[in-house]
Amino acid sequence: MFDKVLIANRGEIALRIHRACKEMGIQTVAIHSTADADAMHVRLADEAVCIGPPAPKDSYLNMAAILSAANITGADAVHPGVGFLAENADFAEMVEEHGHVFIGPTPEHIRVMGDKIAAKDKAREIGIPVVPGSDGGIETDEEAFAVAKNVGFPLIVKAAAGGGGRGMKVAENMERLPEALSLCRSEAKSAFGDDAVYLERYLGHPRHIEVQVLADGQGNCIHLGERDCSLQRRHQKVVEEAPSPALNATERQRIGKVVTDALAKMKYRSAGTVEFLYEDGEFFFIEMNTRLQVEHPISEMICGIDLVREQIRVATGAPLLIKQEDVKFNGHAIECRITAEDPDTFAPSPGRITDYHAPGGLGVRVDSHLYSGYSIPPYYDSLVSKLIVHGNTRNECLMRLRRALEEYVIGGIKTTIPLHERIIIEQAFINGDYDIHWLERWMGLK
Amino acid sequence: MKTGSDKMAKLTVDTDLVDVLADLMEKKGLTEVEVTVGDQTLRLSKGGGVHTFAHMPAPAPAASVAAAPVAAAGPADHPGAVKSPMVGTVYMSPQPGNPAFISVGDTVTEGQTLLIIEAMKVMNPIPAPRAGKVAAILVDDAEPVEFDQALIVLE
Repeated sequence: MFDKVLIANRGEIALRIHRACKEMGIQTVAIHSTADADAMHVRLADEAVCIGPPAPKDSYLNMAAILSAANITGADAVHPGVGFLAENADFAEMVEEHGHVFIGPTPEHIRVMGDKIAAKDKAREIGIPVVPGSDGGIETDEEAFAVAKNVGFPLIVKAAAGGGGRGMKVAENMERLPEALSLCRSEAKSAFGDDAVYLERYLGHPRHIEVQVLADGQGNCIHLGERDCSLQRRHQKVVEEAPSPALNATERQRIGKVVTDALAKMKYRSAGTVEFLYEDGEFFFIEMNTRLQVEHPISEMICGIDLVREQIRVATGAPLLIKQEDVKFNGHAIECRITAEDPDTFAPSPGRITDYHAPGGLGVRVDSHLYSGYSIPPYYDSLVSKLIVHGNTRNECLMRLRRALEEYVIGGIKTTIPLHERIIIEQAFINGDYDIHWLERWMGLK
Repeated sequence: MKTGSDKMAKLTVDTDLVDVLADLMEKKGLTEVEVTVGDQTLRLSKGGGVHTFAHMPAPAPAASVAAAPVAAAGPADHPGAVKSPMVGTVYMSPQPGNPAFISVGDTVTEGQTLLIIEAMKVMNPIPAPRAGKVAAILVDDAEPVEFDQALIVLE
């Protein structure tokens, strides 16, 4: 087992990783920008190294500084967390070249799944159903028209180097297609440095359903069930639940098996999530995230498995001890992503936390780095807390969530707690009857 | 930079102090005595035994003691402090065995190499940002340093 792990991230996920390490008797190294010197995980970690000024490109995206910190602290392994360098194959490679273990998949798998066109090809190759669309990238408008004739409208143009909900434009018909293509290309060029785009059928009322997997790089792969992440605003997830209210046990088993067979075949390693759009009983692969995800706690709550612990274990080269038949699903879990934003306008609201009181009680879990007196820096994303509840049934979960949100106090800044309180009393949410457009439509109506 | 040895300082039980405190408790009829020195605390309670522990870095604003990740308080805040632009290992001389680049009291010119920081096998000379006199050297040879850590004070 590792003696020392360097946490190459910040905020609540860095705290999450620190906690898993501590429970395994592993020493932690927190790297941080000058703006994060008072972060909770920096205070708790065994060692801390300031690696740069606030800007992400000079700190959390600064590979040389992070590698240097790993070197001077003698870290055995590096956990990249979520975002930042977590899906940067070059970083994964460099970590290993410098004699540390990268806690995650192989650089090759990160690379293949990071290129959305290659990922789709790979998925097709290993037997995962995909959204009908262009066969690879689209170079010219003529190619696009040809695909449109086969696949039909509406179509969505997507950036090959995109992901995480960015770099997408919808074309409702043939007239709108050239504009959507050029807009997407230029956005992709400026956001990702690469204007390669591809086309897919735009599904009318899909749900976003993703499958959590865990593998050991030795041909063993299990799944921890699915998560329904359809409640999104501008392609960013707001509330997630597990299991999905839309699937029955048969469908769950079926898609789980398809995914684990495919990933076992490619000898995938560590945690990962395969994302699908689900419509009218059919699953369509959209992308795979070769890292831990923000919403991983809801899967942990229904399976009782610590995903970060398992990532660390397989990173040492140990085979997966858990077999699929050992994975038991128990009850229901829901997560609310609480951000430091105005609940109506979404204007960012960084600042100093005055009163802080997190909800507690049976089945309530708060993953947050906040504390009374902490100043949220304005340089990073606005996620400040994840409120996760678990119940024996979905109804119990809903009641518990309502109760927990009422108790939660985060003073001194604006948060989206009031928004969550409004969402969870909506009939559509209570019935589990929503798709990926529901939240934005409902907000448009408010 | 916080290192392993800062976080939980070695726990040493000062047995003389324990004797003195125990006598004091008897004489004065006290049931509990707690003494804090730096980041270590000793508590004796009648019937409860002897406890020694180090302060955990509690998340309190302003007055927090243990976890401040700054090197030396005074010299590091000096306006003439030259801070590290990177993470790495400091070397005070061009090669092991060679004389150090600078000593306390030296006058340096702008651009003169003060020390080297090695990061990822690359030696980075750190130049003086302006002319001045070396008032203090805050780091040792082969010491790991973090971004913004005060290295030298130039007056």
